[in-house]
Amino acid sequence: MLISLEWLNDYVSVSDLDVDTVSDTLTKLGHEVEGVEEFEAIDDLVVVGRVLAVDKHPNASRLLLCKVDTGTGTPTHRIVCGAPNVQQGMRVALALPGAVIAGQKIAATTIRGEESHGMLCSGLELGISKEHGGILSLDASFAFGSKFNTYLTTQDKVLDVSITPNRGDCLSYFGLARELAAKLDRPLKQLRIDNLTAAPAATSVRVDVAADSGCERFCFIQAHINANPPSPLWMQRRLLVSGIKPINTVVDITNYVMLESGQPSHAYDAEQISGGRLQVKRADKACGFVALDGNEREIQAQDILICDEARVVGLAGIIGGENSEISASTKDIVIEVANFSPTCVRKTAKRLGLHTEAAHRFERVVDIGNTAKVAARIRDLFVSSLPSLQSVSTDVKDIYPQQVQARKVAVRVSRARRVLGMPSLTAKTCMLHLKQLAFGLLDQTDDRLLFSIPSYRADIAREVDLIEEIGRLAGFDKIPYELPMMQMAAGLDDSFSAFLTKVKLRLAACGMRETISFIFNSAEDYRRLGVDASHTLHPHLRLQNPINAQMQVLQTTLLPNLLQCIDKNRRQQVRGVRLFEMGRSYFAPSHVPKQKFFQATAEHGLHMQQGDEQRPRERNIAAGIIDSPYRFASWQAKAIDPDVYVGKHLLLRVLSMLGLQLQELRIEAIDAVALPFMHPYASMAISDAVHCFGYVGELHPRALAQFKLDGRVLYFELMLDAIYQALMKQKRRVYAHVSKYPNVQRDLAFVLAKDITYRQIDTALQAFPAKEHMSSYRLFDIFTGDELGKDKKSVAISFSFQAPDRTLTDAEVDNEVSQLLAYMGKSLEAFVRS
Amino acid sequence: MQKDFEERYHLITAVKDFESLRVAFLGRKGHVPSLRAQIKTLPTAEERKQLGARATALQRRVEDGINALRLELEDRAIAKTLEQERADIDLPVLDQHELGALHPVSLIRNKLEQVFQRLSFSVLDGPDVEFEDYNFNKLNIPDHHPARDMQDTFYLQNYQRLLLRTHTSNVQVHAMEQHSPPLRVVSMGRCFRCDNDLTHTPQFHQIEGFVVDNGISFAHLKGMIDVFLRALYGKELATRFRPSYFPFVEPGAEVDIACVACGGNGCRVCKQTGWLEAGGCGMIHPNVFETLNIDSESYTGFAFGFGLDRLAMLYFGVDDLRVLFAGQDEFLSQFPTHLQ
Repeated sequence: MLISLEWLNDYVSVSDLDVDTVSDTLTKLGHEVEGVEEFEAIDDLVVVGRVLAVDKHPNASRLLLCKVDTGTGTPTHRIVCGAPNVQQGMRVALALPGAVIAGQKIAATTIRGEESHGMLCSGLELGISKEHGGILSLDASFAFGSKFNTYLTTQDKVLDVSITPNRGDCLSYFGLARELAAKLDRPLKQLRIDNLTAAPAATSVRVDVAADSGCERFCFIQAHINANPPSPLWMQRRLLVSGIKPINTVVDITNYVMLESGQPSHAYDAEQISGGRLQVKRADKACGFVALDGNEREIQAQDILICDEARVVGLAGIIGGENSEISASTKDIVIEVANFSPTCVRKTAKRLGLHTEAAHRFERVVDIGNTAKVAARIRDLFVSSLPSLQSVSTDVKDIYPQQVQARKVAVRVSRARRVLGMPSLTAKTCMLHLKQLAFGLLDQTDDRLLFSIPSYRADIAREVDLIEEIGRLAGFDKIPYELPMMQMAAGLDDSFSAFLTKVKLRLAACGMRETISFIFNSAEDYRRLGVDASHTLHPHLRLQNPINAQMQVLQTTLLPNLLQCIDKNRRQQVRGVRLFEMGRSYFAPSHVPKQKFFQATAEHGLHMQQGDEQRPRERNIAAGIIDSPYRFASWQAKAIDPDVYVGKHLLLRVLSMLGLQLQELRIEAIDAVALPFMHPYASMAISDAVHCFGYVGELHPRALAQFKLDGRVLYFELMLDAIYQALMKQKRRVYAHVSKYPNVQRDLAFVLAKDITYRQIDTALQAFPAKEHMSSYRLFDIFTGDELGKDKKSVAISFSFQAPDRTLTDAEVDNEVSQLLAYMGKSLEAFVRS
Repeated sequence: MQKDFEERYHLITAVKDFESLRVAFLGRKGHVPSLRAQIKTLPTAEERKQLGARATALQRRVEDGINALRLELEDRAIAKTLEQERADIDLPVLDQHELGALHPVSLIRNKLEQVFQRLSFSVLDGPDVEFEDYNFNKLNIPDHHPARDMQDTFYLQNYQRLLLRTHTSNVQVHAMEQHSPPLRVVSMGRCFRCDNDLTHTPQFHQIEGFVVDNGISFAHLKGMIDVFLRALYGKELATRFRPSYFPFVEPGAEVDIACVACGGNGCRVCKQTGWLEAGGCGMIHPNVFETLNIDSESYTGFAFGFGLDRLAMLYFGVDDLRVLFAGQDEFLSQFPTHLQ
């Protein structure tokens, strides 16, 4: 909200304070000042002049040649002027040579061959109105020859104050003045209501307010005018610097009083009100309504309406209708000053996207105690500021069936001390601060103070609200810094959070760099990955109001975002990036994956409640992507591509660093249906008997191409919930006896059929029936070559033999090796190269 | 003979030359045995004794000489080999792209996690997709409350009352529903608001902290926030608390910190004010306690929420919010794996 200090000074004296003090005081009260704009005074060389004569400019059809003086007996100034409205006898704002107007210095000059000694100013040029159709025409209150700035103060500072939604009472000059007066302990000047005398207008309009209409109070006055000119300059200027465009006197007065008091009002053209009767009631069905902004809006049942006998003439508390709008020719006016239900106004305004000044205030509660006073204030301004006023209602008509009683709220001083942490707070201080805020002390018993709450403070409902007021007035800077004394406790189990942190650190230790993306994807991203609507990974969670179509669905895999990262980096000619991200996949409650591949029985750390089936499932995932090359060629080694073996190495290393026992893990081929974007033969899933811990592999070239990428790109996802669960269930490691006797090593190169996989060899070795002393074995070479034959390969394995109680003899080892050879020959048709 | 040895000894340059020298002096027909053979031909005991002594002295000289020379020559050979193995220790061995890094937001997050764990807080997690009840209603923000305008909310299609959480405060509700006081909890994670401009991203990250116990006061809130911000920005950091409004706290406040760029003197970062908005906080509203069946008379509590992205930007001097989430290696590679 824009607050002019010049205007604010009408209600609390701040003219002796510098703008920083006022800003700081407001900010410390909780009304944050976000900016200050300064306005200069109008130059002393702008004076009130009189147009003596207007002639045509001899050389320019659109220009006029004016003779202007500043009163009888003063020199005449020749001025070239382009304003269409300049007339002989007009009272004008004359900028003499040397005056600075809107940053520009006015100088005597020659325009199209005619001398010009000054300028006749428009309101826009002087910064006091938006009018630029012509020059200002001043009224008789401006004396010839006087400095213009003696009549109109424009030197001003305007604060941009942010008002929190609980403080509807501060959405006005008077409201903020009330706060400043309390904090600065200065007198508050009340809104002036003089009940000025004017010809009485007959009240021709009747108003009926339906029970349960959502209107608690309805005041109105009626006025007759014979013209509706622009409002006085001072009013226009004040509206303008407060961010409201001046329109005409009637509308300006309603806006002026709204800014002044916080109470919105609305003016109807009474001649357009059919049947001479206004009704406030709830809409009983949907219908169309053309608001005064010219747009048609749909009214729905339960909206609060202002109707005449035939039509809707206003959406209560939001906007009036075009059909009863004030026009230049309006003669008969009804001014509504009412109080509407905040919730009802908000529902309607929100639905229609009509965030008007009025709606903004009604949503935040308008003071129901002030309605009639504000109507009287408007009546006064009609009398004082609208010369064309013919007559006006003598009294405000006030429909207020259920008078709202002042709320009573008690506060215990001891409680205030404890909550604020101000042990020295006294009852006297509490009473002082609350009195400054005009809370009326009703009763004091021991510790307990009972206050009546002013009608404008809708936000004060219970003790803690008064405690806040005490703290606010005392100043939060008066509250000490302390740490609480607390009882030790075992604390809640947060090992899952610690686990997530560990995962990050392990991945970084493997040379991966962490990135953070938004969880949003486009549906198109999934189509590109080969995921169709029936697929488990199809994103069923869609935003109602996305930022754009690219950010419409919630991710079920982190792949699209990471692929885009690779693309971005490649565009910058950055290759070989290794990125990881800690993210989540999001599944609709109706589409929670059931396959082992995607399943995690519990989502950890998410406070899932038993039977909370309506909740979407969020799975914690660490995903990584590695662009080629994995290693650049160097003077030490050749370049390495990020192939599936690089990925397998990385994943097993991370899992091992996290504490998983690798012996328990299974490596499985990936089902091409489950993960259509992975290379069907160069990828794998890592799991145990129950859960999949993750998958890794090269991306499918088709998926890469869909994201305009080529080459080899490695991708993995670690299913963190499953890994955590397995870690928690893992048995404690038990120490195995360490042999004192040496290992005996034998290297054997088996020649066998090329299509035999390592799993077959491994399975066979595990099942070696005559195993007695063989303690471990390690694959160290795979070789194919012409000398072996096209369909053969050589697999070299180093075997260790050991006994717990003695050094093995060569004979013992030889015996076991020969049995092994025989066994391998039989089970895999493997023989040893000689 | 001694002279002969010394002359030949000085000519030796390689280990293989020793053998002939050794044979010439110590061999079966060498000088030393032939000298010893002469001994018994001498007439007097005195002469025999003298010659024996000379033979022994020569033998020792030859043996010692040969050994010393052998060691010296071996050393020289090793030294030569080592010299040939000289490495260029300035050769680059580390590929920059192999160095891992954590995201600046994670770095701040981990640091704060440590700070709060020292203060015996538990670190809890919460759902990103949330029921409206947990994000708003149970936090004293009823339907149609204007405070909902403070947070532009993403809603989900086809799922009534599901939204993306607008703050981490939903964790307060979950924690208080499932655990009884005393509670000391921090939670860090993603939040979402329908906002996308230079200074707002639709996804951002918050740290939420709260304490519920007997006798918790606003002074404790000030103390705790001061402790954790100083752990991050240094123990001289000044903080300022001013009243504000968040429906789930009363009294509510905003926390400003002295500008970390200029130390509070006023600069471009703090728009010449010397202060930076860092977060919101307050005393947990008794309405929240009562909704969650916690005795609001016995228990009081405080809660605070800070933007991790902003804390990270201030810590590392990042002046562009968008670069945090752009996934550019050039940016991400600048960060370490942990803060000291």
